[in-house]
Amino acid sequence: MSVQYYSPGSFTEALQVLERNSNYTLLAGGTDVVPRLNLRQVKDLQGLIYLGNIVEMKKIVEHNEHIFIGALVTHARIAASELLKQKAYNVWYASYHMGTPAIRNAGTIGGNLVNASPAGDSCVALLAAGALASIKSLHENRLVPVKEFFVDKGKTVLKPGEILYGVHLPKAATGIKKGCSYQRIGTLKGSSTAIINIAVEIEQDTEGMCRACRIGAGAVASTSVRLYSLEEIFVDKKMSWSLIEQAVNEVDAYINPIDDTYATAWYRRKVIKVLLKRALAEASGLASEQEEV
Amino acid sequence: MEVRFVLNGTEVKVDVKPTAILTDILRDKLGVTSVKKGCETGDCGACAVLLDGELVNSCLVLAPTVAGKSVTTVEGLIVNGEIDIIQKRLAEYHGTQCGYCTPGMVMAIKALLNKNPKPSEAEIRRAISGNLCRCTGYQKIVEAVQSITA
Repeated sequence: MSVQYYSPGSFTEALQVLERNSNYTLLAGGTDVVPRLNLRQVKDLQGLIYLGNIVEMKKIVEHNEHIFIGALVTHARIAASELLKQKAYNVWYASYHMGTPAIRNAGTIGGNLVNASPAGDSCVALLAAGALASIKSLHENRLVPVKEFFVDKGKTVLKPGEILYGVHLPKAATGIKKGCSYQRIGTLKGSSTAIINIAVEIEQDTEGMCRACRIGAGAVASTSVRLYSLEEIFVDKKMSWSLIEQAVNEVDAYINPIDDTYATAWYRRKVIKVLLKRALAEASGLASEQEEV
Repeated sequence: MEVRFVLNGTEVKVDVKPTAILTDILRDKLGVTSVKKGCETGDCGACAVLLDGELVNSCLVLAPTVAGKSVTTVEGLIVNGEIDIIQKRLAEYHGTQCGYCTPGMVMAIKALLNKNPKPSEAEIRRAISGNLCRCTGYQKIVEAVQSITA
């Protein structure tokens, strides 16, 4: 049977098509789906639902409590957004440094999330941002924290008939200073899978006490993960170099990296310590107090 | 299925399979052989074209998704029989050797200069970061672009 192709003009129409054909593949920027087709890695492709004509999924909107980014917003648009650079630095950074110009023009933030690569660059940024995934079907709308979104490599909590509509980035409360840092290492500057990527967000009150710390790490497990145990080291304490040292010393226990074509597990365990230290120092504002980190 | 789009200013109509990539349609059905097939995974940039003015890897674009859009390749840069200044300067500065990456490279530079007529060296290098060239070492390409914008 030949492959079916749909190009719905609205989100509702896309949900209707998917409801009838839950085995069809959703297509957005194509930067993950099409290489797999080209490399003949897709077995039994029944149909494609191209989402690229759905305008409402391409919006970036600032609300009082959060910023909404539609799932179809490309990395190029995020990279060009002054709003996101100011208020969601890590998300901006991940997109700005992702892939190549042509990849950023096509690839979408929703695609990066749904692809659920253990090394997804936007994934760790959204984890650190405490983002929520807006998931919709014809029957239900739900908001799932991104920290609960990934199930396994390439697998997410999306159920048949559901589409990732966008992400919500919560804003920091009044009186809270949010510090961000994104650290990444790959084999090339342009277009390389991350060997390690880390995003950190630290919320400090006016007294300099850490009120929240979120650490997202990639390429250290079968999905991008939050390093909760390390985050707890900082909460309700004043950020300091000794606490950062403690987190760096403990990180080994909470990661499970593998050997692959990009790097060895041994190397990943070494390099995450360096990147984690840099990220915590930058996000806490301590980096400027010491010459070398 | 039938797909209509604008190719280098002219509307075209082609019959495609839903999983056909734009690279193959351009080369095999429309005779636009400047568009090169390299990796087919979006890593090399040899197949780069402008889609509604934005640089994309045509190997990652499924043919039906270009319906109603506008595709530009180096063939579309020719005005009154003259090639584009980017092409002239690449030739002049030895920014092309085997030539396989050149059409994609030209489109990447075109996309850059359309948006940013006075790019810095860093901006030039960032703009061509998705176009692999195994001959020139990039320096001659960067110099060719700088000669246009200087």
